[in-house]
Amino acid sequence: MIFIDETGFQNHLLVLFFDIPADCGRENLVFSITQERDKVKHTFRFDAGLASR
Amino acid sequence: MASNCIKLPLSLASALLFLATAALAQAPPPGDVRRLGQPISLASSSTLTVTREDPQAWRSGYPEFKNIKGILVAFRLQFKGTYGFSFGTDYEDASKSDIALRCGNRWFNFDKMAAVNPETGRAQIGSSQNAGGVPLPWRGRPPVRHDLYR
Repeated sequence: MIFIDETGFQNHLLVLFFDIPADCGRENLVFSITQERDKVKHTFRFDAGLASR
Repeated sequence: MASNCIKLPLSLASALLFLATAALAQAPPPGDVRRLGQPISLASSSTLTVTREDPQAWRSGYPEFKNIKGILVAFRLQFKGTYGFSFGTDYEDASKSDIALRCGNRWFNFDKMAAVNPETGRAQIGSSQNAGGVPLPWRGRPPVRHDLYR
């Protein structure tokens, strides 16, 4: 569970690293971000795609 | 009558100015703006760029990230209100996690995270226990996989 408690944190660029099997090609990757407990329609800005393996 | 004819264009101009201003005010920032719940295919996002906080650039500048082998996803949160919110992580079934990467039928939690302060440009490194100085504590079980450094 990640708690984002600070309002000012919303402008930060968040970077996540996923360690996935090499057989998953970029064409097959789908990033999903949801937040079901809060019905407010938050948005996110997707800034960058991929880094090399 | 003449005064009415003059008023009409002015009203139109005012309306257009108002609409243009409103459109500019609501224009999304650069990048791909999505609502939570809309999945993103990384294959179609290959042209997106990060300018100031180029992940590749600061990745190479921080030893913690230098040797990480994996997939990187970068995004900004733009949530409303004066409160924060949380993302749930299900370590047994990543498909139930709020943030996940899907490859076919397989779902993956993220293994490591970082936050870049837009004011300073400094990256704050996340770990299995915390987010490197950001008051962003991990709760529950730490990430399962610890083989990021190879």
